[in-house]
Amino acid sequence: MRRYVLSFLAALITIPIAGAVIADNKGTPPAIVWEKTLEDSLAKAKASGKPVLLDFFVPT
Amino acid sequence: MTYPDATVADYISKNFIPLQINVQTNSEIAGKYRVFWTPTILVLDSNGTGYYRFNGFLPPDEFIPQLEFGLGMMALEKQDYKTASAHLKSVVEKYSKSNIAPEAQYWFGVSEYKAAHNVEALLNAWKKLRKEYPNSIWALKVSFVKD
Repeated sequence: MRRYVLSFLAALITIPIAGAVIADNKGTPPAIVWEKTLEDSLAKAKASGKPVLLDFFVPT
Repeated sequence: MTYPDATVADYISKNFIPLQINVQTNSEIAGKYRVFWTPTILVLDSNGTGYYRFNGFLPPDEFIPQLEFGLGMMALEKQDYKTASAHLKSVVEKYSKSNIAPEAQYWFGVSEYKAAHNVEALLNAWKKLRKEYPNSIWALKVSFVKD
């Protein structure tokens, strides 16, 4: 019984927070979805007909 | 600064498969593309061949025209002159104040010429280059063209 009560309370806390986070992201511009490997990028480039934009960087 | 910009993110997502490579953990790929400084940006075709590159951070209003120019140069080298002219013309028309615009105008003329051996189109493009961007090095390169 105690476990169910705790689960219920956890849900009560989590759902409004998740809702607020989703609401905050509304209107946020879509971020770039970066590929991680050259192989996957080239495969996607072949499939889509788009070229690859390759950005070499060092973490700051 | 540049990548979080909504216009940049939208442009990249629409036109490219974006790939980021950390040079510190991917020295083999960095070596393959002869990268010695970051950031280095390359435009590759689907075979992994590089057609355009530039270095250094750029704000969005210079970054996007560089990418558009890169698409134009890749098409030009691949002898797809219709696509090349469209991209290069777009650089000059949409981003006329960008630093890459004079070079785009130069290569637009070349693309128009190569498409149909149209000398008049080449000369017209280069005359426009001299007129619109008289202080650029690209105007100097066509200074032999008579008005």
